[in-house]
Amino acid sequence: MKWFLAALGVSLKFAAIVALAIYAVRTMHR
Amino acid sequence: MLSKRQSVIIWSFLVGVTLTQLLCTSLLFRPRGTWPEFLARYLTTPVAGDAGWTLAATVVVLYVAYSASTSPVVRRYALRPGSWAPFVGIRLVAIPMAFVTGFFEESFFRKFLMDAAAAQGYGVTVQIIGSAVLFGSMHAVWGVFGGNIRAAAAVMTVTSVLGALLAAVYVAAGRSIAPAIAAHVAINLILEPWLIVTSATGSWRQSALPA
Repeated sequence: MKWFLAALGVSLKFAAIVALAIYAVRTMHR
Repeated sequence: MLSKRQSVIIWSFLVGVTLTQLLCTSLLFRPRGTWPEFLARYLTTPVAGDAGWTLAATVVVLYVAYSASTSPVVRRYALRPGSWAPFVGIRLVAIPMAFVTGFFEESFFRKFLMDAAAAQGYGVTVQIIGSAVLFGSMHAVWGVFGGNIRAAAAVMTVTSVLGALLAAVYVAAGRSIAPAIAAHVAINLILEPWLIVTSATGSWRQSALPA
């Protein structure tokens, strides 16, 4: 369970970083 | 065989990474029309030349050979379907993962970031290095999950080099993303879930790790 939550946390962190990067690059492009 | 803890790590990573990157794909693209129409256009604009496809095939061969040299798990299982019986579940889940991550990671780390850098006026060298370093940093988590910082550093270095090679494929293909995606999917189909098993069990060849 502990490891499942850790993996989930890392996955979500990855998604958050990517979402932020996509947002930042799109904003710069405007 | 795998311990309970190792199985949980491997399963949650395979499923978690696939779902996360599906989500990221939906953030990255807002296709007009249907997905099949979008994909047909996306993968053929521009059409990749022979140089891109040749380099893509070379990268697959080099990376698979290198991985086999550093991971006893890859050597033992990757090219031997007859030995997969105890791992049939993770082998099957690794197939959709190969396509989702190959498509998303190349679209994001290569096309999206490198084109954005180009639009800001950065040259090809900066685009390749930037794409490679970010790609490597993201992959360091594989090493961390073996509970081994040295392994994480090694994984980061190796995947940065792979990222640079795939970025070079993108440039060699005349900035068509199809060969890079094909190479990434092929690498994943051959090497996963065996690289994840190597990470989760900490069975990298010791001399492959930095001191």
